[in-house]
Amino acid sequence: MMEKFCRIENNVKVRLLLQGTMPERALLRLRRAGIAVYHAKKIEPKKLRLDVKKKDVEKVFAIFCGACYNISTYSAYTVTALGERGIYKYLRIVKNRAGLVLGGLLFVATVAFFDGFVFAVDFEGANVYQREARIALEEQGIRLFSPYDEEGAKGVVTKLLALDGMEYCAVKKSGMRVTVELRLSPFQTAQLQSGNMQAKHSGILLSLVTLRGEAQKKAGEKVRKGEVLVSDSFTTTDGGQVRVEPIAYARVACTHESVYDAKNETEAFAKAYLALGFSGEERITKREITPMGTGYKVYLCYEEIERMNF
Amino acid sequence: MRLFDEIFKDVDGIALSRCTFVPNGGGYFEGVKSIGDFSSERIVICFSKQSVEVCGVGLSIKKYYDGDLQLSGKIASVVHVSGGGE
Repeated sequence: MMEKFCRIENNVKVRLLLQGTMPERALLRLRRAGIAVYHAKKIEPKKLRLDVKKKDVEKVFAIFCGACYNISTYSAYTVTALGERGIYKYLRIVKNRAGLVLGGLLFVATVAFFDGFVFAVDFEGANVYQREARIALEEQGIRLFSPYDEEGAKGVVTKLLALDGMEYCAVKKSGMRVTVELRLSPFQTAQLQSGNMQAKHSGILLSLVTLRGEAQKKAGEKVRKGEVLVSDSFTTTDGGQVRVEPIAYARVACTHESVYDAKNETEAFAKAYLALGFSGEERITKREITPMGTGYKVYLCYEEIERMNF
Repeated sequence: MRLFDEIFKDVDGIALSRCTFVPNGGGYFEGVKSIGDFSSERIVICFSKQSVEVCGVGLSIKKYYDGDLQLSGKIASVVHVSGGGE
């Protein structure tokens, strides 16, 4: 490899500037010395520009004694080296600045590698569905410091477009930032659920806030699953019945007791949590986990939130 | 070819100088001893016993080594000039 490089180096051409009266006469001396001359061109009446092989440069300077600045001998001609020609000039730069070139390549490679990752997520447009957008991104595997997945982005767009009122949704990646653009339809009106508000859990009703409809239960009463909490009609002052879409919010205190086959309390609690299917709004007020046989008995008291059009 | 061998050798069998050129193109000259006048419009090439004057536009020596000279540019005319040598 080194021999090949040396051979390439020896074939590198160096540009020289020959100055003197009738510089073309100097070509005769070069011919006699067996030095090949390339691309000779007279650029001025007393200046001749030519290329010679790098291995012949020293011979040229030896022929025209007095061409060097520190030798005080008369010479009809002066020779100046103008530099290497062609791609070899850049190969020399690479060879002399190998560390710099390597550092530059490493930098480019690092940027190219990390360009495929997500370092920030921005939201533009309507913020009302930002929470749903974050959940959708998480589900499709688009999260911070993870590789960006084009298919996942399409999945996010599909999920978000299915949301009520969503007119336009786009997930774009620019550099290392992912931008989620959401736009709601300006003409979309809210679709309210109709019918009675029924309890989804059994327990004790802690509070019931009714904005529309007629409350059928009071705070402190026991409720069973399926029981009507708020009816979808109310009686007017003149005795008439008007149907409405209920808008209400309730808190129900529930309990749960079950035995789970688990190795430890944490696992038993996790199984109970999953079995109840909490959405994140619930609040656990009491927790008792006791060993029983090969498993654990889990007793939980929690507050469940129920809402309709709220 | 034997014909060319006969054309390009003198009675003593010594190879003669040769000129090959393309009108409005470059040229190749063998047996060059020295170069006389040289500019981008005119170059005088000296062989052992005669010289030729090459006129054209943008003339430059592409390669000159061991008596072989390759001219680049647009050669308009090649005229024989008596006299030559180093």
